[in-house]
Amino acid sequence: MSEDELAQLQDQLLRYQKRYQREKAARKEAEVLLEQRSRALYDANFELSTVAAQLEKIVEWRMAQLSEALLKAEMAAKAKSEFLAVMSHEIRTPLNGVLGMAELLSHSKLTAEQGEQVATLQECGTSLLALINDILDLSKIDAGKLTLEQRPYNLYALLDSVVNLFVPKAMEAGLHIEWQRPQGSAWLLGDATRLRQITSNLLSNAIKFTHQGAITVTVGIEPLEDTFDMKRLVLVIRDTGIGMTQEQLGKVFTAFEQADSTTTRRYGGTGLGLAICRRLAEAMGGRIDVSSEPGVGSCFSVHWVATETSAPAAEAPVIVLPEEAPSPGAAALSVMVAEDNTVNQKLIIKLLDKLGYRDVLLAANGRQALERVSQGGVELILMDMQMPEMDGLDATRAIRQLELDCQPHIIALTANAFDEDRERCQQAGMNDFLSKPVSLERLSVAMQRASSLLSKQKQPSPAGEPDTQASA
Amino acid sequence: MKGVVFTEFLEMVESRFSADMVDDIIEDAGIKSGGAYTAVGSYPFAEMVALVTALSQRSGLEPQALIYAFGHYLFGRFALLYPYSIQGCSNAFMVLSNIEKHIHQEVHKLYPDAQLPHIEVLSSDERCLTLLYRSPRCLAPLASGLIQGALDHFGEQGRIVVEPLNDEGSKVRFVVELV
Repeated sequence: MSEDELAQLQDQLLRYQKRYQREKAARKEAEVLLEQRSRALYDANFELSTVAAQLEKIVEWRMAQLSEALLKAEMAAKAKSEFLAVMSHEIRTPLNGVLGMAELLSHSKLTAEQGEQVATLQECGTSLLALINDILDLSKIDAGKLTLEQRPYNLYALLDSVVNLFVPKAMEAGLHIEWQRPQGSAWLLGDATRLRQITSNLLSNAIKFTHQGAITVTVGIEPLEDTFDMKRLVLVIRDTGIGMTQEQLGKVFTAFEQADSTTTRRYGGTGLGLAICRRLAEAMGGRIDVSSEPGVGSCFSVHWVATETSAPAAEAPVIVLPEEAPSPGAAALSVMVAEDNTVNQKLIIKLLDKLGYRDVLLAANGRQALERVSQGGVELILMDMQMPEMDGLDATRAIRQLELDCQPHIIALTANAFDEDRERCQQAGMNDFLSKPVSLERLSVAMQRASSLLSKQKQPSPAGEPDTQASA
Repeated sequence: MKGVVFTEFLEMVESRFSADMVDDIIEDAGIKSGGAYTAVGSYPFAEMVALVTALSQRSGLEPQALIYAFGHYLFGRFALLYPYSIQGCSNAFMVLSNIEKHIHQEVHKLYPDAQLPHIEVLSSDERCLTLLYRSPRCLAPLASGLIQGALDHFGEQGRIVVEPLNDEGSKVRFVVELV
């Protein structure tokens, strides 16, 4: 190898060495950089997780605040509904007295003027009662406490009865109700009471806001596509009344609003009816539509879906009111009234007297009632639900525990108007339920029912026959 | 095992022996990675064992002695590469007492998956520090070398007594006495 070649080789080697050193230095530099970045990333992550933790704490705090607020709101809603229940009772109790006494008064000998005054008194009391019921209904629906029944009812028969109820009122106003009733019957599953309420409300409105012409009631029923027994229903109530503008239509379903606030003066009413109707229809899974033209008339249509059902095997027994007021067995029946309110005591006794029940026993509370019943001989009790010392429910339960030759028939008598109360009475062992104010007619029906049942019990009957309602 | 241990080991071999020795032991060890290590990677511990074994065979030095020497070398390098890890320490005992609490924590910030030995302080006073070393890798000689490296770094004189607490050497007590 020549010296030149050697020098060249050495030079080459030196170059490679430099190149190697350069690459190594670059690698180390990269490693240092990477570590620095890793460290920065760690710090950033740490900061982020700190922020996240803080956020989490804030969220937790907010959640706590929210749930506290929710709890407060729920408590307020509960307090509201409890208040309503209490108020309902408190208002109904004196109203019961007012209406009852007015009714008794109307049956006494009066001059024409006095008769008119009493009629006005009764009318005012009745509308006050209706108002209380409306407010209760609305608050109950708003509280989501409305439970709808699912029982068979005959739609056409239901509409028959509602229309018939309004015919006199329409005639009085010079109007004609045209009920285009389809043939036959239509048995559906649902809440007949609520449907009756909607129909009555719409009919009552139609009459109220129509000065001449007619009110037409039609009903449409058609099968719902892709179903076996579901029906699409539409109930239309059309009037030739004063009608409404577009703007008025917009707020007609709002609680406490009427199409025109001046109508409150002219036409009366609270503006609750349609709000309730709409909510009821919605609760039934349906809706209410309205179209109207000022001066031409309004048309309300209720749309809902229901299951068609077959007619029940035997229709509910019809209780026929006897024509003559005092029933023959009345005097023989031993009746007790358990009621703490003296006005109500007086009223019930007077009403019973009118029906021929005399020598009625009195108990001021549940305990007194229980004591008297345990001595035997009491056949029928009109039992108030709310009484001091021992309420009607407890008293009934205790009475049902007694070993008596014959258990008394117990009719709950209460100012509590909620459906739950009816259920509670039934569970406690009561046989019947009358909500206050009790009218002479309703009391009479209940008493008739009771006495037929009791007389049936007294007669020797085949063993094991169920204790069902008697067909008079 | 962290890449920095590999790169520093090969650096040491290059500086104490030669670059050729590095090539040779990589060749001898027949390792999968081919010796292309970077400080920021992670490699199988078995490769380190193979490299040390190869170096021991080529140099005729005991593996334990080589590992100890590497530990000693490594402390100086760490002090240079990661000055912040011994910042604020004025003597070897301070550094050694801080390994678990401070240094290892810093390592985990960069390498969350790093598997580090446990160095527990059993007792300490001005003159004597007792440490408990625990590691499945049984690298007590490396720890021993690091301790010596720390003493030398601060110009301190000391004696290190190594007391293995089990046969395989995964648990070892170190008594460091300043003289």
